[in-house]
Amino acid sequence: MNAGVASGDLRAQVVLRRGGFTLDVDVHAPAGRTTALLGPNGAGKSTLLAVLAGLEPPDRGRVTLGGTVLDDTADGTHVPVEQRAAGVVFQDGLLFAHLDVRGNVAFGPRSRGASRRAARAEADRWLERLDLLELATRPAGALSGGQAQRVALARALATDPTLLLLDEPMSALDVSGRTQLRRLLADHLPAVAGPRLLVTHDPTEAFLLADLVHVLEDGRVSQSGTPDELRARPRSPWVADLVGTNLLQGSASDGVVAIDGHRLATAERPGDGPVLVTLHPRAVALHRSPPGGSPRNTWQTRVERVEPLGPRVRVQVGAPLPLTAEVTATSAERLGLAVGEQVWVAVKATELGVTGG
Amino acid sequence: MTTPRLPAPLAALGVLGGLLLLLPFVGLAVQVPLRELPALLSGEVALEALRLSLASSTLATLVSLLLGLPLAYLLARHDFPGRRLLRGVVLLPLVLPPVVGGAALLFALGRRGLVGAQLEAATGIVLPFSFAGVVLAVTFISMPFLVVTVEGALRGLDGRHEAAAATLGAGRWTVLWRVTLPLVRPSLVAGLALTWARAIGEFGATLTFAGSLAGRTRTLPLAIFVALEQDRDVAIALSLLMVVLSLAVVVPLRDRWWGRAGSGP
Repeated sequence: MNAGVASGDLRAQVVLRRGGFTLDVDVHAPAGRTTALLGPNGAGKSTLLAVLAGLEPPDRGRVTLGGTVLDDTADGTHVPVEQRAAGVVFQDGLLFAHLDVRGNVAFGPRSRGASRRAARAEADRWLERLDLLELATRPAGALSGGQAQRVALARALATDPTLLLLDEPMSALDVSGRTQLRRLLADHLPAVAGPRLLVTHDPTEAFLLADLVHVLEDGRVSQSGTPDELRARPRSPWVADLVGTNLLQGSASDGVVAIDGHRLATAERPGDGPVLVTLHPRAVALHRSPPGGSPRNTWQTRVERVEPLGPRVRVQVGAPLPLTAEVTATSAERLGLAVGEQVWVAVKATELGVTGG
Repeated sequence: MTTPRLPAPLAALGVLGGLLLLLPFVGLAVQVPLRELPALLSGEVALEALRLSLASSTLATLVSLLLGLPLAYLLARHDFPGRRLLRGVVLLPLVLPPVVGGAALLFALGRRGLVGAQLEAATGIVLPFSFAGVVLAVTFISMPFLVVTVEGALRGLDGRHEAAAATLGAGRWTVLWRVTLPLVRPSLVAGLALTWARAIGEFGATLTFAGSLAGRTRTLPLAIFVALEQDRDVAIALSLLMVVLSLAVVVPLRDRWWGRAGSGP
């Protein structure tokens, strides 16, 4: 079905100039893995995705997928968009409003030569798999944002893509739509054999869905690694600020969140069930002796790692709840923080961000 | 929310404007010889003219679709030298007196015209004063309606849905057929209807280029013109027929196309 483009690891060395902006990256995305392109707005993430999809030819560079050369400016190779077999989910869905949901999902198989009947059957298989079958006859223009993005995902998957490109698929959705789509992605991405690329500016999305993260800042890759590596060793202020946030998975009941048996009091009262908790490292206070005052969450633990980052120091603490804390160099010195030392951790209930997991 | 009412003197002018447009049709309607109407409309003169008009305007609309749609696409989405000039030329038939259009066609495609002479020498085809000449003249005058309408709609597309279709494996033909055309369909339908309505009412260019030969090139408007001097009742009956045909096209369009103020090009 896929015009001869076999899957495999994606390798993209791309240089592209647009006005005063230059995208200059060399990224790798292994097959069978989800790779996030994470970065602030205007970093060039979506531009890179457009190059990979074949929508924008690079000024200079080489893009390969497994053994297939998709772009090579040295010898003028450029596989046209429609032959790339790249499934793309766009930020705003871009469903065809003149077709119903089934017609949208059948569009890919039909364009790739399947008969009308086979294409519709294939569409129904994907609609069923993604639990969208009841929307099959709905006009695409009559869907909510969340429904539209799920249909867009079904449409992309129905082409049996050798490369799946997700361009900020959740950014136009409300909180519940985001949670729903994120769960759907977590369930279905692993079934895609080729590389999956997720463009996002939201570190939570990247950490929950990606095996590997490339951080893009100002047209360049500023850091690459697993989510854990990025969290532990952020190499730029942007990464430290946004990526370095503690992200914990737990379950809520009665306004208390339990994470691996450790209980945290939260100010927000989420519904009972699985939740995600975010906590900025600067909101994790460290003390030498049991702290007084208002914090309801205090416990004693051990310092596992101490890492300076400019005028600040990032401190990794261990069981019962592994967290990253960020303190000024001065207070690190005053507290005498060193690996193996015992410290008290204090976290205010109001500093814990809680969303449905 | 209530919209403010127009001051009385201006409202009176507005009513007067409406009357100006309405009055001629009232004048026509009261003259209609109701009892003889069926006989007049089924007479040979009327049927022949009606047949020629329907055939020429429908053919002209099809030719406009075949040539005008690709032209609209080129003008909207391709950059080529002379595009601005061509855009202007497309508008010419809309503003020129049709008799000038007919004369220009004669100079180009008449028996001694620029192309017409060679055409006759090579193929024996003579366009002036033939039915094909009627279709040509009518197409020349009415095709710009299709081109302008569809070009505007195509220029309003940002191309992203078409890009999405390409990522799904659709080649150029498929994208055009299954995405681009459906996206501009409302404008295409409106353009076709306008083209047909203009075609069926065409007079000046047809008369100049194809003459007024009964049964060959004498369409409804020409037949009315001739009948005005010979048989007023036939002229009135045919005029009524034209009014009904035109209304049938324009009234449904009024809401679907012009009704959406501000959304057009």
